[in-house]
Amino acid sequence: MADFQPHLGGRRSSLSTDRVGGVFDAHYVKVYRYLASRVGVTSAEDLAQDTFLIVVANPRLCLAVQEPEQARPVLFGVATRLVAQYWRRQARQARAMARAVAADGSPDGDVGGESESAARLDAQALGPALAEALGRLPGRDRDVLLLSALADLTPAEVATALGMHPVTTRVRLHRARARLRAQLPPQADPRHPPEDGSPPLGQAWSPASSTHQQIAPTTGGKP
Amino acid sequence: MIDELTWLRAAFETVPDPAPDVVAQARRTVVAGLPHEHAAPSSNEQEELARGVGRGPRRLSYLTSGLAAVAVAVVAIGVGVRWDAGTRPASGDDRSTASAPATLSGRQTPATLSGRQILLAAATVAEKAPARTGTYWHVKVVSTTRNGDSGWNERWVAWDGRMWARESDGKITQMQLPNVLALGVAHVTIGQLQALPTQPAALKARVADLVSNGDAQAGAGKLTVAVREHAVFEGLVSLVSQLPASPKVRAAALRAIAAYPNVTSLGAVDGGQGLRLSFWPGQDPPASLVIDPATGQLRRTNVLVGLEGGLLVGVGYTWAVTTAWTDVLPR
Repeated sequence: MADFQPHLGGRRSSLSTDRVGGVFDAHYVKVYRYLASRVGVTSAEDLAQDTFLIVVANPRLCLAVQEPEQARPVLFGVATRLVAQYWRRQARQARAMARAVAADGSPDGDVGGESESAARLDAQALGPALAEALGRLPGRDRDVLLLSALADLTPAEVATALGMHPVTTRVRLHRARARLRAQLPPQADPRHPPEDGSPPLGQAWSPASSTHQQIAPTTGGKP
Repeated sequence: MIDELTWLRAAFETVPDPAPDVVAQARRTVVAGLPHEHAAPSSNEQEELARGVGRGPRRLSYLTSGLAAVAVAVVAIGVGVRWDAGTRPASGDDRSTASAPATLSGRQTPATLSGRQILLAAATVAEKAPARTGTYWHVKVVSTTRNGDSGWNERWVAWDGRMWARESDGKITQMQLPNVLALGVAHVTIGQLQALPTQPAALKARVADLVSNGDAQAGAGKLTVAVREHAVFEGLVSLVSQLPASPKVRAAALRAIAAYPNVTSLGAVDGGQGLRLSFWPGQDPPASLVIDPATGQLRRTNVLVGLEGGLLVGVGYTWAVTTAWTDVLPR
């Protein structure tokens, strides 16, 4: 740890450029895909980059990611916190829009809590059925489950990532798996989604056919 | 029958890898060790985010700036301008404040918006947009499958009805069909579209009129009432998707759509506010649309009303739509 500097002034981390590059190359794609599954690909670009910038700018985390067995819990722990923060922001956006509408004098309102709304939207990229099932889990259980299943963290690593006791982590993982299992659709198999390779575009107009054309087969398609 | 972990992992396999340029840009930013006060969340926020990792249980207080939350991630899809990852505020704060609606104050309201509220809010924003025109109306549609494969096509429409197309192969060709824009099933010109009424009821009536009396039914026989109603609804949706409508007409279309009963909210999603429309209840997968609250325009969708009319339903993929006036026709 010869290159560890306790006071960095916020600009450079304690990692050398080579090491930052090495950590990035080893983990970026996995972190990105984990984030993409939870917040969508557009936002995943920002959050994945933020994850690494946060680690690089924090001396303690920087030190940790140099240990091979620490890097993944640290990175996925930060990423998971960014996911929670992201959904809070989305909820605020929705509230701000609701206020804008209210200011326009339109009386209309669905009631939904912030956490409930965020839970419903988490993991949309995994498909609506799975997202809905995951949305019914408590937030922490969902984190534990997704870190185990998608990021391939061991229960001990999940505990480190989320700052939880390992026993609590195991209990939550067990519970989350049981609840998800109970919601398995009879023929769920997202490995074979009903889709064709390259969708045709914009050329399907036919006034005689009630203006409607379905391009891809719907067999097995879950709305 | 599969178990729950297989289910999760199989679904995860469909999540795409990042594009190479995204990886390269992120790597440059991270390795360059940019001053993090510009490239990452504030240091307070970073402390909060970093604190819990690797330590005992701790409650995080997620510090986010008030109005910055509005319209986060909204502009990222389909606006045609890519923020440079090295200089942009990584958390999107500046973008979001820039596009925040002006009327953000008032009493506490529920967190989840109904479909109607989203559309009305989008209408408020849309009608304030400056009216612009140019020589050509340019529409770009990018399709993306769940596996991340994508294709695109572009159209340029001149005021006199001439149209050019460019597909993924990069070749621009002039299309032979004259007068190809369609509103519902009615052929219309850009001039007609620009002159549409700007009140929701009047707009809907005019669209219905065009659908009933337009020349598009040639060979289709007499339209049934149900088909006509569908065509009107489709026409309204097409005004906020690909057609060159003025901001006030677009706002009126959003308000008219908001009055339909078959519009429900999916809440905040990647790219904006999600809506679900059922065009033909019981027959099709419901349409999922993402409306950009900053512009009131359609950003991402699994149904598309084509420039030349016709409702397309994408199963397993979505479209991102970008529209703009331009004076240049690429060669």
